[in-house]
Formats: sequence, structure tokens, C-alpha cells
Amino acid sequence: MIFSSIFFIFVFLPIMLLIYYLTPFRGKNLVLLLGSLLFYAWGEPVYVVLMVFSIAINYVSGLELEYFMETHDEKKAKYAFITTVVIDLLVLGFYKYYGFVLENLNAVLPFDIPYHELALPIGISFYTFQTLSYVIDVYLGKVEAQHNHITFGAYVSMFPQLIAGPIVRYSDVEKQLKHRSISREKFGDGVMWFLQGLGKKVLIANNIGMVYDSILALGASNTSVLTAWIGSFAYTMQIYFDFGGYSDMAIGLGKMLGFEFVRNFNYPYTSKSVSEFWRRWHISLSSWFKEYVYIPLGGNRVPTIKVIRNLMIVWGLTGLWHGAAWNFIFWGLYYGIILCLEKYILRGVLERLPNIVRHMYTMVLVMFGWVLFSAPTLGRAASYLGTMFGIGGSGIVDGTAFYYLKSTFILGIVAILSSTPLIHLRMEHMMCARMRHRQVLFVAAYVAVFVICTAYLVNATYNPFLYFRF
Amino acid sequence: MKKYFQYLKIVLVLLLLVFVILDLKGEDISSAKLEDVAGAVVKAADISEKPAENRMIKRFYGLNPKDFEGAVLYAPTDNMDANELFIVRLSDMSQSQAVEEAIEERLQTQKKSFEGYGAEQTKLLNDHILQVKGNYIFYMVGENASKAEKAFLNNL
Repeated sequence: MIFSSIFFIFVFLPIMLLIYYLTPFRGKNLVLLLGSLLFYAWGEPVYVVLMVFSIAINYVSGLELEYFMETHDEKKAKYAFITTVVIDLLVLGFYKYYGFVLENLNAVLPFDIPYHELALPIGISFYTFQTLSYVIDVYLGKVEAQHNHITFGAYVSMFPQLIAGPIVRYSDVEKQLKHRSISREKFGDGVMWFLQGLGKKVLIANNIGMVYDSILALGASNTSVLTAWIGSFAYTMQIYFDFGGYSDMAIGLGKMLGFEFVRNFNYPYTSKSVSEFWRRWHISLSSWFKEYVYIPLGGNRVPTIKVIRNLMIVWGLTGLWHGAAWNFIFWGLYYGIILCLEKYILRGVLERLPNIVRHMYTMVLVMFGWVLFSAPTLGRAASYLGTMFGIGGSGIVDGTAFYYLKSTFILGIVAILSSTPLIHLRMEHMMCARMRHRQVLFVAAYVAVFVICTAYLVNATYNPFLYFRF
Repeated sequence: MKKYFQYLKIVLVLLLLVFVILDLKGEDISSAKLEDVAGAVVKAADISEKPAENRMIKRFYGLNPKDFEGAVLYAPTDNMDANELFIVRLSDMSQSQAVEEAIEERLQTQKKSFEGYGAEQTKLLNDHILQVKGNYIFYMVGENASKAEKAFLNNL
């Protein structure tokens, strides 16, 4: 089940919210847990078992760690901690990378190892990182172990952020799991976040996504330089509004349930350096890696060569986290190299450049990155990048380019404007205005978004979700 | 207390192992390449036409081939032709239901199109084969559908 579906919006969500609101506070976590398991089982009737296992083992491990730490048995605490982390990573690694590893082994070995590819359980990367954050924080004494298995189960399986994040760290919601306020204002705020996300996903991402798909399908030899850039721009916008929209919906749903989740995107395409871009893009993942990998490795407080090593490890892992394919690994390393260059060589140069040049520099590198990320194979990524520079394509400009330029111009402008804070600030201004007609206009705008999205969803045949496969 | 946790963890890990083994044994997910499967099916069904473009999959089934590991369609060649072969390799099992529904919808549309005047086509449509096997979905309307189905199953 995905948020941008008629069934979720008109059946699952209203029923879930109704039961949730009617239940006394002490029973809300149980309702949340059961509802979330049902939500997950809808798409993954088998792998819900895997998630229940993950909840159980991490819950038991939390209690075990607490016990050893209270009895000052550090050696056993360390052993329990390592075994839990290893189990979590093994489950994630097995289900996510088993096919990839065997495929690559078969490519180099003189004989073939027969294997059946395993289906990737939806959201496994997200919920495993959540349980890891819990176990690590309990071991480090940053949070107390959760004694209530229902509360812990609700934290891991919480449906708003279950399948596509944001990766909610236990420390961020520990108090909210015990006490959270549910109010009319918070509900209204949540609805606004949800509708913003729905609009981003259904109206912008789905429509602009078709452009990139059809350009990619043209093949390198039939693509002109301009067509290739239009395609890259379209995917750049699609992935932001797709994933960003989904994160906004998750935050909105969280608010409706009384939770406050961390913001996952902060207008990343307004960045003036790639380092800044990664402070604004998928914030919950970047901060997870910073907190649990980069800093434990020594972070910045080690000699330069080790900082570079740390950055490359973190970005290699970030790439690998996104998927079991070489293009994701190269995509991660590509950013690792750029961030090292920005840190040690380009920083001074960039600071002296005009903002517009810095912005263009960032966006061009980000667009190259998305080509690496989205292409079905590394070879296709290379040929597509070549086409962007006039290598192997069909000239600089052709009729196809003009067709795409004309057909996506308005949507492209809307996407560019919506990727900046301009529209949001304007809407906030309207909301805060004391004039009644402005407030009515503000509400009408959200109602219009909802109606148009519903119309799209009823008729839509194209409603992919890019981050599902991660 | 300490032992109680350790035993619980051991039991949970054993349960996980059982689940993984059952998952590995029981699942039907095939690593066979779509081109190989489609090639064998086309040969068995004696289809000489070229596969349709991706936009035809969107048009006929409302599905975007990019959402899947792959999809191949051999579409009817003219308005009076009901022969059709559609094979999809799913990216994940949760897509199965949506694809089946899209195929059912396509089938109903075709049945309505030929209702009343295309007796031969209606018979072919009624004899269609829709086979879901793990991460592969096979749908065929045509005289050689049974042969094609066998080839499909043998090549997964």
C-alpha cells in the first residue's frame, strides 16, 4: 500500500485515524502497531514475519544490554551489542545483496552457482537502520531500553515512516512514544503536510517522470544533447518531488497521529555546494551515517588522509544502502570524491564565486549524479552522460528536443518554483494573514490540490514510487 | 535473567533461520532473464512479429514497464486480431496483484470488443492463459497458448 493511492486515502487512513482517536491514550500504541502491521502486510504478507522478528530481537537485545550495563558486565554487554548489530546487518545484507553478490560471483567464476533471487522486503533498509539506532543508543547509554514490547513494536513498524522514511531515530521519538499531544491544530498541520506531499508526488513527480522514462527509452543514438539535458532535468525533479513528497506525507501522517518527525528535505536544489546539498537532501539518512559511522570512525578529528578514508567509507556505504547494484556504489563514491574535493581544494574557490555560478555548479553535478543513479546499467549511464556532452548522440538539438521542451516547459517552471521556498513562504504568509479572504484562498488552494490529486489517482495508470526499492 | 535473554535470542535466531530456509525453498522467484524466457515462449508459440513498443504496454494495460524488472508484449497486429502475449518480470512480489488486475481489465475490454461478432476471437479470449509463477507473470491469448505456457514454465 502506498500513501498516494485511493485505497489508502479513502479507506485505510480514515478507518485507522477513527480507531486511533477513539482509543484511550494507553491503547494508542497498540492500535498503531496493529494498524502498521496490517499496512505492511497488505503489500508484504510474508515479510511481515521478518519485521516482527526484527522487532522481537531488538526488543530483547535492548533489555539484555540494559541488564549487562546495570550489572557493569561490559564484556558481555559488548558481546550482546555486537551480536545484535551483526544479526540486523546479516538480515539486511542477505535480503538486499544476496542476488547481487551471487550474480557478480557467477560473472567471475568459471562455473555458475545456481540461485533464486529473493524479493526485497519493502522498507527493510529503513526499519533496520531504525532498530540499529536503538541498539547503538542503548549500548552507548544515550537512551533507556524500552520495556514495553508494544511501544517498541509501534516505534519500529510505525506506518507513516515504515516504507520510505524518514529514518526516525529512537532518541527522537522516545518521549513521544510515552506522551504525545493530539490536537486539532496538529491534525490540521498534518493534513497540510500530507496534501503538500501528495501534490508534489502526484501532480509534479508522476507527470515529469514520464519525460525522463521516454527519453531514456530513445537510446543514446536517438538522443540529442538538449534532449539528454531535458531528460536529466526531468529525473532530477522527479526524484525530489517523489521522495520529498513521500517524506512530507510521512511527516503529515505523523502529526495526525501526534508525532513530530525530523524534516527530511530542506530545499536541496537551492544549495550552493554539493556539501550543502547533502545537508539538505535525505537529512535523516545523512545524519544517521554521520552519527553512527563517520563520527565513530574519527570524523574530522583525525589526519587528513583518514578523514578522506572516512568520507569514502561513508559515501560508499550510502551508495550501497540505496541498492544492490554497481551504479549505486559508483554514485556514492562519486559524491565521496566531490565532497573530499570541496573540503580540501574547492572550498576557497567556491566561496569567491558569485552565488549563481555556485548554484549552477551544484545543480550540474547533482544532475550527473542522478544519471548515474537512475540508469539501468553503468554502461547506459556512461552513454547517457556522453550524450549530454554530444558524444554518440544525434546532434545538439533536434525536433524531439523541441517537442519535450514545449511539452514540459510549464511543468518544469512549476517544478523549479516549487523546489524553492518561494511558494511555501507565500502560502504561509496567506495562512498567517488576518484577512479572512486570504485564509479562505489558502484553504481553497489545499482543497483544490486534494481534488486534482484524487482525479489524477482515479485515472492514473502511472504512479510509480522510486524509493520503494530501497 | 541474563540467560533468559540469551535463550530468547537464540530461539529467535533459530526461528529466523527456519523462515529464511523456507523462504529460499518455497519461493518461486526465478533469476532467469526475461529475454531468455520470452525467446523460448515466442518460439513455442510460433510468433513471427516483433515485440510491441513500451508505450503499447502503457496503452493496453496501463502499466509502466519501467516499474518492473522487465515486460514484453506481442500485441495484436490489427483490430480483428485477438492474439496477444504479455510477460512481466516483477521487481517485487507486491506488484503481482496490480499486474493481474491490469491483465484482467485488458481481457474484459477485449471480450467486450469482440462480443457479438467475433466468435473465433471470443473463444480465444475465453481460452486465455494467465499464469503467475513467483516473480513472473504470463498472459497469452492464442491458439498455441498451452505450448507457450509449457515453454514459459520450463524456462523459469
